[in-house]
Amino acid sequence: MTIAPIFWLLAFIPALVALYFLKLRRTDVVVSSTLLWSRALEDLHVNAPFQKLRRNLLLLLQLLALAALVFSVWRPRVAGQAEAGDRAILLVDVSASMGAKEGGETRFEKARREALDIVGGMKPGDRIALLAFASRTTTIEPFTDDRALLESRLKSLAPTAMRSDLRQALLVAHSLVEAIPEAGVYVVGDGTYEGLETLPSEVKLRKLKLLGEASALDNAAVTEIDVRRTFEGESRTEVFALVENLGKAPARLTASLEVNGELRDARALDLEPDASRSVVFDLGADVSGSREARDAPGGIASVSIDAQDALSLDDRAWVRMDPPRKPKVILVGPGNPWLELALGSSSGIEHRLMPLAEVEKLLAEARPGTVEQSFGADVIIFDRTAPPGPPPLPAIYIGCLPPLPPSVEAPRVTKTPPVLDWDRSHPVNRFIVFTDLFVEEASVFRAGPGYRSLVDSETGSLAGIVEYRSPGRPATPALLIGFDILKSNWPLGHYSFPIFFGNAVAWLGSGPGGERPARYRTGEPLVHHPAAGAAPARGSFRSPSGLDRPAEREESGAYTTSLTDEAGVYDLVLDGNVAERFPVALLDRSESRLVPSGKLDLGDFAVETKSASEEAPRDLWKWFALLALGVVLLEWRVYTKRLG
Amino acid sequence: MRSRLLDDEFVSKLEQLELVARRLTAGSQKGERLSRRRGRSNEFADFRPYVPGDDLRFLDWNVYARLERLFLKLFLEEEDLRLTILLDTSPSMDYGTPSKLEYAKKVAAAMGYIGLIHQDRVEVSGFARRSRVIFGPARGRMQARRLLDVLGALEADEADGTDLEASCRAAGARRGGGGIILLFSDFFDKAGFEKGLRYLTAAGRGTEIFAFHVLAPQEIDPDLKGDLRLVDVEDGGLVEVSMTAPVIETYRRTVEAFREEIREFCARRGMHYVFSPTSVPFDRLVLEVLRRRGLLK
Repeated sequence: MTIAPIFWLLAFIPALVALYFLKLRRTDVVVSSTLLWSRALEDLHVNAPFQKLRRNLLLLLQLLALAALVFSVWRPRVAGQAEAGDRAILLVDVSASMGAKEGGETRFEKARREALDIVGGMKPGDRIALLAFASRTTTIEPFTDDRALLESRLKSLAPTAMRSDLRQALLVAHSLVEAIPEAGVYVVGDGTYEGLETLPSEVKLRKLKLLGEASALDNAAVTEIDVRRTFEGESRTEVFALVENLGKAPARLTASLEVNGELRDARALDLEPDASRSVVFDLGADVSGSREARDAPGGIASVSIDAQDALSLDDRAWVRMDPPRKPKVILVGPGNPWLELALGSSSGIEHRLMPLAEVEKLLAEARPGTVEQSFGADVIIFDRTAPPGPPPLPAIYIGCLPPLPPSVEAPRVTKTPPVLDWDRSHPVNRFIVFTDLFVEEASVFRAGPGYRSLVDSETGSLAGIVEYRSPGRPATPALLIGFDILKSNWPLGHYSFPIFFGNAVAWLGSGPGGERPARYRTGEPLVHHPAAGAAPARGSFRSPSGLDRPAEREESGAYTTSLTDEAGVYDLVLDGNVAERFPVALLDRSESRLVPSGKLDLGDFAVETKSASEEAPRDLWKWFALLALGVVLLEWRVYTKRLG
Repeated sequence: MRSRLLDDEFVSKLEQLELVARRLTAGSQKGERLSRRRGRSNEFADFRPYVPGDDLRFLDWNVYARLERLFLKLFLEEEDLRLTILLDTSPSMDYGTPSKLEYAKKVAAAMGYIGLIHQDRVEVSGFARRSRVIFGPARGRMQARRLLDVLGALEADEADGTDLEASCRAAGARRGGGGIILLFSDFFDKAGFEKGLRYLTAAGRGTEIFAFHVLAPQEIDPDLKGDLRLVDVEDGGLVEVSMTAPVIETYRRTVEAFREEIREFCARRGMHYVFSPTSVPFDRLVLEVLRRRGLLK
């Protein structure tokens, strides 16, 4: 153990004592005789060698004041956490659950106090980086030893409406201090974290401390919302919401549906603890069918519950009710009854046949930039025959190929490739199982940059997506199926066949960027693809609280923002007009569950919560400085009293 | 009799008082005291059988008439009393309010006055480093005025210390034994008080010595504060001391021990120790304390 340099100041104590005797100005007093005084002092000295020092109140007070000053300069702390190292990272949770109210203050305010305690406990030379995390991790302040700066930055933080992703935050923190293994990482939050088991072990082995003590709170939330349409007969719109009671007490709630701010329906719900209930509001045809709703940039429905709980921002969720789209499909090829049957079976698709010659004619006649309009369709399907150029529209190539983008390798022809796996996450593969798909012969692609495989065989990809890009325009996707479906058992032996094409047309025909989500979660990016040919305009995203943030314009022409830290409806304003509305809500069950685990479950081991009252370094220097001041005042008092 | 030292009322009270020497001693002249030597006075002492050669005037004829034997009447002879007053006039005595010297002068004046009006032989000496006679020897009421004047004019010496030993030795040698010695001093002699007192006792057998230890209240219970450098008024000696409660307490104990030391020394040598803090009014000391102590009646 080394002596803190500050303790060298204690060496001033003997100096002070010496100074005391030197500087002492004694007042001369004439007495009749010093005989008895000498004797008395002799007695005193004989009785106690250090009597003079010990009994000298003034000197003692000065020593005490000096010691207190030295201690205050040393900045002592109770339980010195920052001893973890000269560098530390403060990860401050600003997720939605931090806005939960606990005993008059939010969890965030409580946690921030602990973070301030750590900053207040910094020793000279300590450097702390301040990171805020929710679903994203933001560096608020890189490593600095400026306490005032860190404190003001901390005070400027506020909880958002986003879910928390501590895993990501820890990875970011780790990358910041990768080279400093002794640097500690303090997680200042409420302890409601998941998914840390898959962290790399070097991150897990880092000095992690979870600060903050949150108690379990009752909360009910709308954790899912969606809009469904049925095209059977009269088209109908249903708004679906999932309401969950994430507390320990039964809840009696009313779920209300509003459409464009107007109350439409309400349901009473009795929810046992840890129970969930899905609520379906049937709006019939009136919304989707009405002219106004179809013309509007997006009707917004919201479902709210009247829960009086700790967290209110998850009591409401919004969903966009787009007018129904019926993608128009052009089928080009020598004729394929199975395919026509599959397309015709879906009431949501309009298709027509077009000979290849007409396609080529249209392509030849079309002026640049107006190709899509000249076809009057959303998707084009090339069955075993295709024009030589790139696809004019989002396209499906069956058993034929467009010119491939340079990054995609040319396929190899394989006989009877057995299906191994498929991309279950892609919307095109929704509800589909490809087991027992038999293909006689196929061109198989190698997955790589520019080619996203949808169905894999032993030898390569049987189907996948490539994109054709041109500057200033959204990419044109093409779904490549590397085999002739008539030379496979797909149309006959597989129920997946019509679903696959239904999905594919819906996805390709949903416009640039794919199908637009009906609702967004906080933290997710919002993207708006302007209509083809639309002039570039200055755009801004207006947050639910009315903040205008400039929209970024991507190379493809899309307007995006990733600043979705509030719950509510965001508006994209282009040239003063609302171009698109984006419903954004928390919709996160784990974030709404306000039950802290009290530890960071890292899979292999767990990091316990450190209660702030035990561990947070309490800065004591102010008390020592105050003590020094008090002692000096007392000394003055004693001194003047003696003089008097 | 009006004086700066003694007021009339007090003087009239003094008239009632008389010095008492418990040890009857032979004076050089006949006075108002009974000497141990039997002689001619009115004070009957004893009888003894007549032996030839005795003065027939002292035969008790009445006894002879009854017993038919000759008895000689013995009388105590009356003698004068030698009262010696030794006044410490060192600078340290000029301390306190009223100053210790002033106080001692008053007591000395009262005692001298009593002595003079009772025909005692009174001598007053002052001393610091050396003793010197400032009054007497004298007797008789007629001298009282002068005594008061002399004492009234007496000032503290400019001497640079007290030499009790030398002073007492000189006074003792000059005086011889017998009578009463009243010594007024604060006994602040850095060489010690013992030798001086010893010289007084050695001066002569049968001398009754009263040591008046005169201290000012400020010396007994000092009211000093702060960090001080004490300067000895006599020799300029310095003592640095920070006045704290423990220091003051130790000083008080030292004063107490100092008094006890002198008292014990006096008791061992048959001297009377009279602690005379100037806080006790001097008339009370004279009229009450000294009567109680048997010096006056």
